[in-house]
Amino acid sequence: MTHLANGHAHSRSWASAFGRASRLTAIGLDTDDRGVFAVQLARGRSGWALRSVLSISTPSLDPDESSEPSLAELLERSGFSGKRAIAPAPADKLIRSLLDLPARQAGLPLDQIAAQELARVHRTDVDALQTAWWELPHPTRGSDATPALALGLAHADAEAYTDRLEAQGVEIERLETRGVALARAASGVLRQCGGVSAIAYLGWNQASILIYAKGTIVYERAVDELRALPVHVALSERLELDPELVMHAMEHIGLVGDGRRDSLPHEAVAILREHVDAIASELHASFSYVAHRYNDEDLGRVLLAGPHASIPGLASTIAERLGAECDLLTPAMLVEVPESLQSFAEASRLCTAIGLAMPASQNQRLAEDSA
Amino acid sequence: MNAINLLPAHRIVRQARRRRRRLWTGIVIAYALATGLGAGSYWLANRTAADLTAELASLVRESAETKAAWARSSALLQQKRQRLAAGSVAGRHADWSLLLAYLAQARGDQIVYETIDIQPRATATNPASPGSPLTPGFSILLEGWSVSPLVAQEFAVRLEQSALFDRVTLVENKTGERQGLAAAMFRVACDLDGSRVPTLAEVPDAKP
Repeated sequence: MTHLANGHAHSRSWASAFGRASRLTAIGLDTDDRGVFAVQLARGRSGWALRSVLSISTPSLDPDESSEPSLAELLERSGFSGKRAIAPAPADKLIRSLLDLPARQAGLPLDQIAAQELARVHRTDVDALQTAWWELPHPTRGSDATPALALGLAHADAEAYTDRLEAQGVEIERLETRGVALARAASGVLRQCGGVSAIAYLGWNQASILIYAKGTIVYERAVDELRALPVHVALSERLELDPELVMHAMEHIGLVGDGRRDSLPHEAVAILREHVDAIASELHASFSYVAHRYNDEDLGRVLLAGPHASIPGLASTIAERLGAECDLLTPAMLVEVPESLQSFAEASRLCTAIGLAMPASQNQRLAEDSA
Repeated sequence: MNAINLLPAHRIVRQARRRRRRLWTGIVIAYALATGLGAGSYWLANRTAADLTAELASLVRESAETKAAWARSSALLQQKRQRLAAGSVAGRHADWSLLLAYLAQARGDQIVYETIDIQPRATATNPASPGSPLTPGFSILLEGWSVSPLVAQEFAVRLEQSALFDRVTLVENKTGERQGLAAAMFRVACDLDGSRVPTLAEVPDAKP
């Protein structure tokens, strides 16, 4: 299934193309094993607005399958401008560590130290690793050290992944993490919550939890147990249904129909409840760690994002389990959604792409506004 | 945390280099286009001015040549006209040989010419019709001696009667002495119409 949408009429004149290019973002390109979700933003009246959207299910990004239109062609048909794209790094290849770096001093090469330390912890060659790190708030019971969250991606993995995407005609300008992209997109929402908030990204074959506190990501972890794939497999086996029907049942019936005629069979509901329990449990564990580290018991808000976060009843059940507010993160909460793209206003699967497309300065502006 | 990039550094450098190259290519192309456009416009403008100048110079030269040719032609025309006029004048005068032959024959034995003066007749009013100029012609003044004034008078009448002349006037006729003999000195003015050439038929007993 493919959704192509463009919030503006096509106009190919040079002048208009130049004008558009100056106020458009790069393409936020989120991919997983079951779909490609791309977003391009334009400056709206009061911030960024959705301008073009591409949402494809079960795509083929294999460059050998040349019969399919390339991703660049699909993007162009959907009204995207340019080929510059920002993609999330493959989560299963990312390495993460919480580090205690030396206290900041003038001339101290913290970048090199963080990279060395991350490579040492994961027993890999620092020269074959691209790293990023950011400073965390000092924990309540901490030393003078600089607490940091460091991320790394092996050059070989980055090259392979980027080459695969660029074979589709796009130009990968940056590789980020979904957590960073989601935090940037939702920073305004998260800051309004106060205390400690969380975003659970629930994808087909990738899932992660990030905790946001004191204006930054203080914790991020990939949690394979929360992926939709195992749930889908279990449901397919239990219900003995076509995979597409199972997918439809997950997305449209979920937990809401529990106990009614149109609800899923008890066995299926039990599988979904197990899945929800796992999510709640992981969130609770992550919250507990952060609360302990920062001595902050105030659980703010849980946001669910990703292609499989919109299971009916999921947010309410998690809210009930955790005793905290839990909502589905939607494009409408992050950017202006024009009338022509209203069908995507609640599409949580686009949130990562929105975050990727959103310029970094936007995060700062929203943070300042909310402050 | 605001933004990170996990692309390998060498790829970022390559990308930046590619972007710079693309940018500079664009700038160079734009510069080349702008320069070409400017140079083209300048060249075109200058070429037009040069062309106009050359064309103007050519026209001026042609004009001068035409003027010179016209002047030469005018001079030639004038010369031809004069020659034509002279030829015309020369072509219309009387046949002097016939006239002189007649005058020689008309004098008889009793008259001797001392002078025969032929002059183009000056423009004068035609006495026959006042106000209209006399047609161009010749004035012939005959001076000489006769044996008597009567003979001179008869001679003038004879000339008048010959119808060769428009008018014959006996200007002077007085007695005198020539070589010890009594004689009469006379002067007769004859007007000859220049447009009329005397022919043999007109000249009585003419023997050219």
